[in-house]
Amino acid sequence: MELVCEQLGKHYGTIWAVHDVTLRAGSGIIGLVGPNGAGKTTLMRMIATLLVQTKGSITWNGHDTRTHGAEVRQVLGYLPQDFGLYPEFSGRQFLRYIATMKGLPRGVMQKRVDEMLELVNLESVASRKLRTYSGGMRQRIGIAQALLNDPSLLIVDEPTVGLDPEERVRFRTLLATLNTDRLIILSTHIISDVEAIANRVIIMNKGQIHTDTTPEDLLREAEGHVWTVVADAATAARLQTQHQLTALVNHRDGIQLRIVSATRPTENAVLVEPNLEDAYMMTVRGQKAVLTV
Amino acid sequence: MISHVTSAKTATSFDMSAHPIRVLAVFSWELRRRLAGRSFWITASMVFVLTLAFMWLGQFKACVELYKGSCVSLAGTSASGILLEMPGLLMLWFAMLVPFLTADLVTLDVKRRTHEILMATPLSKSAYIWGRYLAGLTLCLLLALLILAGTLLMGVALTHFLWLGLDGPSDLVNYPPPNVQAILLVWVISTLPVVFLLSSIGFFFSTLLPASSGFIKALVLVGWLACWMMAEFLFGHFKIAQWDPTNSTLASTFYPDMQKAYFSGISPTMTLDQRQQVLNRVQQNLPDLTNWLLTHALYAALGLVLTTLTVFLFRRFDTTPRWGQK
Repeated sequence: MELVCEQLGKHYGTIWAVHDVTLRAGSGIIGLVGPNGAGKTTLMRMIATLLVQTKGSITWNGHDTRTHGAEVRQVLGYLPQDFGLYPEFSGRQFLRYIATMKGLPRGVMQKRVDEMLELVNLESVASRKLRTYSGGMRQRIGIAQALLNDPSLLIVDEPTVGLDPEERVRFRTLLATLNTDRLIILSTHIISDVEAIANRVIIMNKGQIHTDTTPEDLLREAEGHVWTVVADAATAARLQTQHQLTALVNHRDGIQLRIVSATRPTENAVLVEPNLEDAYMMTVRGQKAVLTV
Repeated sequence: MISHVTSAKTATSFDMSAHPIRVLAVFSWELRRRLAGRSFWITASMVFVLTLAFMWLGQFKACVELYKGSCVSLAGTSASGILLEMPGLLMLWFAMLVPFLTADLVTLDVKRRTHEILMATPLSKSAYIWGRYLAGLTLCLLLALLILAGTLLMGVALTHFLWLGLDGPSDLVNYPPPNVQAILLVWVISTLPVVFLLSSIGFFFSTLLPASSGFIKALVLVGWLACWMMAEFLFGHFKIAQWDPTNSTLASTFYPDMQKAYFSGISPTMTLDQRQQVLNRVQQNLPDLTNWLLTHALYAALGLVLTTLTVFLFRRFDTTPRWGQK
């Protein structure tokens, strides 16, 4: 399997939401990260055939998605960032409904729905109306519907929003187990999710691919740039204005700051191992402008 | 919480390509969904109760002759009476409901944000649009059937229970039985084309302009009302009366003939009861409505054409920018 985007662009009015994006991907998990408005959702919606590009092309296994959209949708699982459910339906009814829309054969539909309900641990509430579901339960139903057709191309936009920490970890584990014979594109603001499961990280900014690398390489680039400092309130305030902070924790003996900086920020700063969030912050800092047509 | 599993690629294997999604599947699921909600049942109850109420209030549609201070009255469920009752009263308000039942069949997916989930499936545009529309149309037809049932029920009740009577002949014998054939024919002419036409107008514009669906519903409602009020002026001429989509000119087209038949059937020596008996006979004569059937079949067909156009013009894509969201 292969997804190829070439010179892909989409503009709204005079602003390019995505501009000159070129990428090639086979099976694996791509972590798509970037600040708000970076173009992640627009890119994913174009790949999911939900949006027509202004320029460039997308091919899935050699077929242009504009002309072979139906074929792509046969193998697509998509979880939008912000989605609604039908409050009149129960969880099971909703999954059966989406399974029908996905064209699952009648003979396997019920079994597949039961499997997905079990997968997201909603069997006990499967008969309850969706209007009674909590945010986390709704998100899990969203995940289940995306997986119903056992997709080769799975696109999930902010899938862990609304999940509690335990659910988030379990969802990450689930995605990691799916990582064979399929391409998963995971967009998220939670860098630790990407760090845990992605084998490729794409950082988008201002509608373009800023960095396309592996988590290991991204971490390597940040080595020697991450520091921790314990400081009083006044010093902490000064450091915040001068450096890129990735964490700030109040301790009994002062405020502990985690700083990304090429140089030692203070005398007592201690060099530490970077995590992916540090590496990400280092990569995207200071870039806020948008491209115009 | 999400359970620990080894893989979501389970033992259940299937061939996706061999199973296109049919209109019937979309239709049956949408119908099921709408019937699972409370709003349809509330609307249905309201339609049925209002039909009974209007039929009861309109049990005597007109005073054909004022004789010694009493009316020789036209019954609401006779052939001539139903020409006045159904298009003139029942369809006026029922038609206003129709766009509210069909305008949001697709639009609500966009508003509720279920649209993207559906459009990311292999569901074709035509199956989606036709399936949704036919489900909405079926709901409208179910409500229209309730109007028919309410009309017939009240007709039977008025014939057999004197206590239901308002101003009119004072004995049970003088209320004519419902003319089932006429009621059915007038229901077909005045209800079905209106349902097809208004449901598709609301559906067409709302689906293509989802952001304006509220405005479109109001516009169809006002347009229908205006058309109904202007119908006599626009379609009052006998030769073109059958083109009146509201049918409010239906009765006035045939009423003079019925009146003429009545006055030629009575004599000056007849009592009020005898005059009522003459009218009861005369008012059951159903005029020839063939031309009305033909023109209204065209209106119904226009509705289907609009829905077909919706399929061609509908875009799977919601072009609203999503950037800047958290």
